[in-house]
Amino acid sequence: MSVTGKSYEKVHYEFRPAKQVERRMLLDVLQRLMEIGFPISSYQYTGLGSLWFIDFILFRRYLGIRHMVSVEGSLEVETRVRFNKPYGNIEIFMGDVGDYIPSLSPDRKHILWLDFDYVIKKESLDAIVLGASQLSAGSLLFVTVDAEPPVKEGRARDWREYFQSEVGDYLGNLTKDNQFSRSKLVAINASIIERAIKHGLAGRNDVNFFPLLNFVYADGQHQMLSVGGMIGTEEDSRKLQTLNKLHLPFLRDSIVANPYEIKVPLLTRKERLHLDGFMPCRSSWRPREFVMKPADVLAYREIYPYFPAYTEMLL
Amino acid sequence: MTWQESAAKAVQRLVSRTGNPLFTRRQLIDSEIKQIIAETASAGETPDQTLSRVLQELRDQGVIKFEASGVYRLLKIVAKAYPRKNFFVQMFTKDISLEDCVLDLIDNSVDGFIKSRHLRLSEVASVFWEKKETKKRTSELPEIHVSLSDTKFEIRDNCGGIDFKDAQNEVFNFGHSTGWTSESLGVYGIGLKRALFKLGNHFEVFSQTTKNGFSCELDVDVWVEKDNSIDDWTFPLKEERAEPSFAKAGTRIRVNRLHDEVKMRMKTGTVESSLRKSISTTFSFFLNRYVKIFVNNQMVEPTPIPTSRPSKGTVSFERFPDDGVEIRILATLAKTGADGRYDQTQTGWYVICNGRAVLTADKGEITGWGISPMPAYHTQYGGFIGLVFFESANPMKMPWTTTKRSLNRESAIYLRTRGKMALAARPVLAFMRSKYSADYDTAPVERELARNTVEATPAQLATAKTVQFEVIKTAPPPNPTTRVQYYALNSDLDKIRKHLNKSRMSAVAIGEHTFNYFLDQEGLK
Repeated sequence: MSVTGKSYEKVHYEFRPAKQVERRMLLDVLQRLMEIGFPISSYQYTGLGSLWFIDFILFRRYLGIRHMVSVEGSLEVETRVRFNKPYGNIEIFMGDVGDYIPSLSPDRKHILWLDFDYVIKKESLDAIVLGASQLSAGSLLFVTVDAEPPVKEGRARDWREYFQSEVGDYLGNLTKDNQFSRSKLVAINASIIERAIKHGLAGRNDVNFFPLLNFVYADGQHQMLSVGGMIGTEEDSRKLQTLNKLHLPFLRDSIVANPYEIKVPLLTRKERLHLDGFMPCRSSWRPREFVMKPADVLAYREIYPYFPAYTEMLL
Repeated sequence: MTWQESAAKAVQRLVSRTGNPLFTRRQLIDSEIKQIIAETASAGETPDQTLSRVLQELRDQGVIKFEASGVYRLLKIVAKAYPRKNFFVQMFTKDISLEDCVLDLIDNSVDGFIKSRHLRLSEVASVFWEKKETKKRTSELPEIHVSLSDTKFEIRDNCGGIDFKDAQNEVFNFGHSTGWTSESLGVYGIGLKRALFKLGNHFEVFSQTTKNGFSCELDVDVWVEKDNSIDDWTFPLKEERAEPSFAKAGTRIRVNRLHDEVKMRMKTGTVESSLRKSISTTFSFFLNRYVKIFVNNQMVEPTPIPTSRPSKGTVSFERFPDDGVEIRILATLAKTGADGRYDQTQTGWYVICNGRAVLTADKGEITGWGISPMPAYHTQYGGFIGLVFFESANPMKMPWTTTKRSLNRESAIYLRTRGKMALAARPVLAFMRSKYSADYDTAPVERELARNTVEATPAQLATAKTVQFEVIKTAPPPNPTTRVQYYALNSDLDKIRKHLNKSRMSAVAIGEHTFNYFLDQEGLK
């Protein structure tokens, strides 16, 4: 009943511009964290690399992270996963990510990206709870979920039933059908994730969760939600205060309110190159050579440093 | 009592009777003046006038207010919140089973043992984790004897007895005052009384230490009747002589007129065995190491927790302090029984507080089963054993309930621990899940697991550093066979049976026979 198709057969990872902008923004945050004293390059990165490992390549190249583990739940693609891993020292764990998290070393700091490309389900929540329980102080936890209706061709009632059966304990006072309408799904997912993090942190008196990111984006019609932050001490929190918010306009201090929407305007290569020559522009600026919607100009102004350039390579 | 105190009480009485905070001086005189005169032992001629003066004083103090001539309003209105004996005798006893009551009484004996030997419970409990077992001659151990029948109940011990001073000031109180602390199994100050009330209408306590002694006899029905003031909340004590021999000092409690419901349960004939079982798991750690316990003259043997470890690999173990409590978590595979199977009545979580088991073989929500990130319990986890051990010099910090047979869900320490329990359990559960596939018999899987595990006590499994359960995989020998399954028409099977003259040949045998026939005929064998 749920949408849990395998990502490696659903999308060609390299052609999801909004996803790529998200990765680049996350990368930017990690680089800034490094600047303010978090030794990111000695962190362990644990992700769900699938067959593409794009996050792994970015983090190795631009952050110098060496300890890397990719968790893969689809046992039938094991040989392909091992074949496709871009660096020899990426460790592969075949199995449920929730079964791997307890072995994350408490003596090391971590970046854990639970980059699920399906609708939230019990196993994903287990992983979030475990992550919040296990990650050492100073570690980063990011969670991505598909925020589309969990039952295709269903109605709010079916969606409520889905959430109640999968993640019922985390719904709080959400009990009525109309609270599960399509427009509320992003907020519902965010609140579920927040509760799961709190549940996982219950009893850890040395650390708290400090939100950093709260993205909503869509490649095509598919809406995704990505939230995350640091599990850290009060001292970590003070350090985080020194992050330059001007350079990172997408930073958020809540994972449930006011998400940052990643909008990627459709542009040709020639248009992009032209626009880049004027970036960063004033908010009233418009290109003279061609017509562009003001909203698109503003959107481009925020994402141009992260915008991926695609070009055909004949290899 | 002073006039002011007495008059203030009289006003409270009057108002609570009428339900109206307004009252007149006349009303007060008519209904209360006699009692005021009695309470204040007044001999004056003009009590009415004295009362008028006192009412003015009360007004000045803000207790009452003048509304009109001769009419007053009571400002400081209170609701009664008295303890009621009947509550403790009739209601509070409903929350606990007969067996658990007896366990509470045994706690009392164990506490006597700890106290008389000047031991510290938290230290005694931590011996559990010592790798070297110190052998003690069991013949020297103090004994706790429980005898029960459908007419009377008795528990007696030579654990050292209750001090006369403690008996006067602490032991019989209902609960402790704030700030009370003692390193004992008895924590809440309710177990002994609740047990006595639960069992019957009449009890006798007789206790001797080497320094003093006392006895106490109470007819509960008579005691309950008189419940007018806090001064009625006492038990009569009688001083007894001290017991010169340390080995004989102890306590004897008898309950004589058992309640009908207790008699009825006793008559079912199952109480003795279920009590024996409860004692053997709850006090498993103390039995034959510190005390011996007998039920109806038969000694109770401890039930050890059946733990094992993978032959190649590690178990999950973590130790950490939390707010004055030392916590250890161990998660591993159970030891299989003689038949190579797991005894699912013995697997699950064990929670032990200062050596006393609070939960044994638990598979419910209280230990996290079914609450993210733990899966709901399923028979495929039948080989899981988890152990949580809380030790503290301050038992008030323990996460147990007043019955000590479950955990306080709101305990911060327990909530913190539960997350770590799940982290320790997950790898064990993932391993078990990988071993069982849904459609096959579980017996061969369990026998295989049994071959690859080694029996080990929790103490042997404890490690210096936090570790996670892991089974190091050894390549399994390649399986040279494949299971072949297909459907065949029953009529065709019957034809074959008839042809072979074997009317009772099984479908499996027919499958094998025809398969071999093909190999034979085609010269492939």
